[in-house]
Amino acid sequence: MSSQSPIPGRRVIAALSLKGGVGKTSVVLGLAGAAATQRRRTLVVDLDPQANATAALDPREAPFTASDVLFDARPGIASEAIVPSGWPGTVSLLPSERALEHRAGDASPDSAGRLRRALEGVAEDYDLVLIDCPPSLGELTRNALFAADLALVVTEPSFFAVAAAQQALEAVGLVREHGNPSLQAGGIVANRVRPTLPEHVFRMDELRAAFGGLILGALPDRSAVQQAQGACVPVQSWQSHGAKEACLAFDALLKRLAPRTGSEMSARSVTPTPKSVEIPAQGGAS
Amino acid sequence: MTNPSPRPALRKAPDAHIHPALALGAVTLIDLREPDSAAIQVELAVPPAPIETNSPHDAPADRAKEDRKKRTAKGAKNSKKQKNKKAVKAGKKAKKKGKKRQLADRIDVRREIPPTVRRQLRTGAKARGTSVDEVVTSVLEGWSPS
Ligand SMILES: Nc1ncnc2c1ncn2[C@@H]1O[C@H](COP(=O)(O)OP(=O)(O)OP(=O)(O)O)[C@@H](O)[C@H]1O
Ligand SMILES: [Mg+2]
Repeated sequence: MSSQSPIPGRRVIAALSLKGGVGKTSVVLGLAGAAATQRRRTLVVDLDPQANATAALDPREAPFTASDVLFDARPGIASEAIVPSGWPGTVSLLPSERALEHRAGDASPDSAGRLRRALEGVAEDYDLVLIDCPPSLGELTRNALFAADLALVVTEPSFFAVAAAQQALEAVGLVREHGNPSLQAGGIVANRVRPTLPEHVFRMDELRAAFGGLILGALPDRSAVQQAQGACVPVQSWQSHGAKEACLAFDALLKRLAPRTGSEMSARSVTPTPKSVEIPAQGGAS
Repeated sequence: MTNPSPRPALRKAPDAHIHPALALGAVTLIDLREPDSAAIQVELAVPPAPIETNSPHDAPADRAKEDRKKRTAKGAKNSKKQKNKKAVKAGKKAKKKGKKRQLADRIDVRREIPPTVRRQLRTGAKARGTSVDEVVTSVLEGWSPS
């Protein structure tokens, strides 16, 4: 972990892409589930007014949201809005709501630091902070990039993928130059990949040729990902072959982005064991 | 050594109930949280009642539960029934409220606000065919935590 991290000693990862529907939320949820199975204290920050991560994480209540936190923006104020997720174990949530869209229009020269300020002294309580960005490179994503120390670009193996990933990386570079010098480009992950499709093989080659070592890997297209989201449980709890494949891919991605530290492993002995999850009846093959 | 003063609690953003599709440009903002400063704002000229939509974003925590309920025929029936009941109740409440407001004695609230805000208030109210009193009343109703 970089010593210049804005939130020292933590991994704060922002999942972003200009393109919508490529799997930012699914990647954040997959990583959160993977971290939870390792009993790592994980905070998901839902910075998308669509509130998809909030819905999937199914908190019992969400009296305050990222909208209220960004509006207030006092140091550490995020702690008052964070709630336990409905998932078993160690995943907490800074929820979102539709009104967060208003904060997207609140841009001013120093407004991009609001989330970072609000997380001061709060992120330290977590081993991992995952920020789900909206499908834009606007004010909310800027806030995410100012608060993060690692930017994860999510893309799909499609004709538009290279251009979209390039734009996201440019945004990361700009934020690093103008405001968050410790932000690193964590890499690009291709989501919903089907290796049997010639088009996907071609696009993956194209992505590797364009970005080389920045390509972190491919996440398989598995309906278990959608089924688990629809039932508001982590894919790690879903019983199917496809779910297992997806979990392996999320584990590998987490290991590359945020390998466990020695202190996290020793701290785990005091962490309560996650409750078992009831698997819905339809958890068949995917 | 002195102890730090207590930190005021987080509150809902004043625009929390405004649909983002409404043009915020048409909304006038005045400070209400700290009446003597101009730092925190509350919107005016937008009806404080949340716009009824079927959007799931109104109550993220409830949505998943609703979805799951709907998966059973009984759950779907019940939720429809509940919705109808709620709508009728809301209608009755709104009627009552309107009557109350007409009948209630009005009191004079004096606050100091910047002249620009007052100008905006007046023009905003005029443009919408309503009065400054109505606008302020509706804002205060929307802002009130009760
Ligand atoms: N690996 C996967 N396998 C199968 N389905 C997936 C996978 N990843 C994502 N999906 C599905 O694709 C759809 C879009 O994914 P998701 O909502 O995560 O994208 P997003 O980038 O967050 O979208 P937005 O830009 O709207 O926020 C969802 O229905 C999700 O369940
Ligand atoms: Mg999303």
